[in-house]
Parts: sequence; C-alpha cells; structure tokens
Amino acid sequence: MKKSLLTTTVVAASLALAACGGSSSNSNSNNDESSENSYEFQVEVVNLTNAQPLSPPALVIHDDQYQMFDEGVSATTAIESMAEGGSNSELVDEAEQNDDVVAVHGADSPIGPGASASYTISFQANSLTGSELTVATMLVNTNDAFTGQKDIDISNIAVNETIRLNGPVWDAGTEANSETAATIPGPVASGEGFNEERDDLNVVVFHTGVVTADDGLSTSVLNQSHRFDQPASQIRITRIR
Amino acid sequence: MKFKSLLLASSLAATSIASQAQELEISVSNLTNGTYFTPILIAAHDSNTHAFRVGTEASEALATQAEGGNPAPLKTLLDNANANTSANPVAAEAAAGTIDQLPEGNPGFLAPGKTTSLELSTTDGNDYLSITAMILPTNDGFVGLDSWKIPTAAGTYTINLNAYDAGTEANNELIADGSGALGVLGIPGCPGGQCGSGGTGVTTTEQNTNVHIHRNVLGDSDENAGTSDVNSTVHRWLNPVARVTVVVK
Repeated sequence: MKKSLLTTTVVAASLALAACGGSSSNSNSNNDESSENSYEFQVEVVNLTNAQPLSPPALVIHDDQYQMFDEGVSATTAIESMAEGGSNSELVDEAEQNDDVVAVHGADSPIGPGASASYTISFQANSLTGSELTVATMLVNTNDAFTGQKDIDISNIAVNETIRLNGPVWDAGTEANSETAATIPGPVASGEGFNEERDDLNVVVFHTGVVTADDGLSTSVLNQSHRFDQPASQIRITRIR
Repeated sequence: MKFKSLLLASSLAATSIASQAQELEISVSNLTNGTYFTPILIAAHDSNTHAFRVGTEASEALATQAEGGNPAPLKTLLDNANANTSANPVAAEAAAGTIDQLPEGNPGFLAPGKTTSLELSTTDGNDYLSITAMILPTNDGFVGLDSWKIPTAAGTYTINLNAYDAGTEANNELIADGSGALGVLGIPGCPGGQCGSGGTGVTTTEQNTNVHIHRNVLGDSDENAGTSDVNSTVHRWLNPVARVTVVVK
C-alpha cells in the first residue's frame, strides 16, 4: 500500500519478493483520498478430508497484480514453507509488505478433518473493484500438498451474500512425494517440515493423491485413511459489510 | 402519473424474481468406470433446506440412503420441507422403455456410462437443486449436489458432481448381505460384479464423521483374500463422478 508503482512492477516481474526489504510497518500512510469505505468479510474454511489436518490458513485480500502461486510456476519460498512445513508466517509477512495487498490474516490454529474455521477480515478501501481473495493451507500428513483457492473475485458479493467454492489440492513441487516418516511433518509422523532443497518438479501442479503403505508403497508412513481426492476444502465467503 | 406506474412495474418485477415456478429437464450421467448409482433423489428446495452439507453430520435419512441406497426417508424429509422431489428416474425410464436396467432386475441403478433424464416442476421459492444417490460398491459413499442455485434465465447448464462420504460408517470394504441397514457394517452389494470375498477389512474406524469428500475405495487385486472385497482396478474413481445437465425452460 505504500510503494511506488514502479517498484510494484519490478517486484511482480522478478518475483523477488524478498526485495521488499526493510521492516516498514503496516501503516496506512499513503492513503490519499479520504473517501475510503469499510469492508468486512467472513471466510469459512471447511476441511473435507478424512485424515489430513489443515495447517493454519493464510488469507490474503489483494488486487489482480498479486499472485500467491500459480500452476506451472515455481513456488516461492513462502509457499514452500507453508506447503512443506505448515507455517503461514512467511506468506503473511510477504503479503503485508506487498503493495497489491489490502488485508492479510494468518490463522493460529489448524483445522481438523470435518472441522471448519471462520475468519473475519476487515479493511478500508475506496471500492471493492478488482478485489480478490487467496487462501492457502497445507495438508499436513503429506510432503508438500496444499489446498485453498486463489484469486477469488470478491468484488461483486453483496452485503449478507455468501459464495461457496471448492478448494483443489496442489502439489507445491518443492519436495519429492516420498511419504517417508522423516519427511511428513503432520501428526502421523512428526517428521521434517520445511527444507530449502528442491528435489521435485519445482513447479506447482495439481496433486495426484498419496499412495500409502496400504496401496503398496512399503516405505510410506501413511495408510489408507490419509488418502484424499479433489477437492480437499470448501471456502464460504460472506460479505458482512 | 409516471411515478405511480414506475412503482407498479418494479413491484411486479420483484415478485417475479423472488418466486418463480420453473420447468426443468434434468439428466444425470454416471461418469465412473465401475461403480453404480442407487436410485437417485432429486429435489428443488428453498435456501434453508439441505439434503446434506459438508462439514456437518449426516442426517439419519441421508445415512439411510448412503449406507443402503434407500432414498425414501430423505425424500420424505425434503417433501416435509415443501421441496419438489423426484426419486428413482431410472426405474421410471425403465418402465417407459427408454433405458435398460443394468444389471437386470435391480431397483433402479444407474450403470457406469449411462444417463437418465427426468422433468421436474418447481414451485415458488424452491430455487435450489440437490441430488443424492449411493455409490456401489462403497460403505457409505454417495454422489451429491448440495443447493445449486437454479438460474432464472432459460438455457442449458452443466454441473460436475463429486463423490462424498457420509461419515457414518467405517469403510471396511467388505461385501455383506444385509449391511444396507443402518448400523450394519459392510457393503450391501456389488451390482456390476467383479468384487471378491474373504477380505479381512480395510479399517474399523473413520476419522472424519461429518460429510466429506470420499477418499476413494482402496480395493485390492485379490479375489479371495486381501483386506478389501472391492477390486482396485475396477471400482476406483476420481472426481467428478457424475455430470448433471439442467435445461431451464
């Protein structure tokens, strides 16, 4: 919300998000006109899996220049950190420093299978035109699977209206899907989370599911209960004001 | 009197949008390779009514259909909420000679690759469409559509449906006579054949006891033993498992 357009373009083009630098806090310093309006959305995330807790989600409201991730594109380190280790702090930190972001929420708690969690996000803006929401959360009993939704158009939601979307499962492509105990950070194994080494495709793609020991992968710490099909989450967005 | 006529016009418009009876032509296609849909329940209802909701516990009526295929209790539940319902279009079509019942003599299963069609008239305020049918062979898997907003504009609309798990029975994947009854563990039938027997059971517990996306059957390739009586090369699926086409007339 505070850098020049030029900087924004450079950052977006290079994906060098770290270049944001500094620790400039999130002061609403620049906001020019005084004609800002208050907006509030409630976002509910439902875990649709049988045995994959979802890590605390990162929720970002942004314009169409911001992109947390995309299919066929190498994941940022922040996405890698979330998808391999379940931490949303890097995604939240980066979003807070991004000019194209209007509001960020980093959840504190995971969402168990069958459970739901609701988050309230409020922000000031001149209008909702071009506003989008991206949500991301890890399936923690996997190597680097995550679900959510990206670039959801929230500009046309009326007050008190709810829209509902299913969240597919992506593979961050940053860690081989070995399914070994040493590499799965979730409760099934408490293995390693984030590791900066990239030993997989190194682009984000749709996830093909887990194999598990019950389906013949003897080195897998997972069993049949951990399998999943698309989608893994449902996202319900209600505009409060 | 321009002002008055404007008022009149807008109140008429509001009325016709808020409550519009519609004529729908609905077809359901089974997109799976080897699983059958039990008698399909189709309902148009209001925004407060749900046949099921992900992340919440299944009603006993939904569990009855998802575990045993019987759509009657859920149909009654929806009828009591003033829904417009239609159960078992395959049986109706078979009686009319427009579809072959596969396998022969079944109560209205929709076989893999087959499509069934029906017409549904909706009444005022029933603006949402829901569909449910058990998937066989599964313990409590069902194909579902929850509260799809029926468009007001005439046209043809296509929806892909996912496979859900009612969360009410452990997916042990063992064929057992009589297991369609609530509380009786097992898969009540294998309409297309190719199931085995003598399995030891895939699991006795479920972590997610709310309605959720089905994790798919595990199956195995051993006809006489193994953990599952389901055939892993025949009875698995990937979402979506059904395509629904709705013609709004």
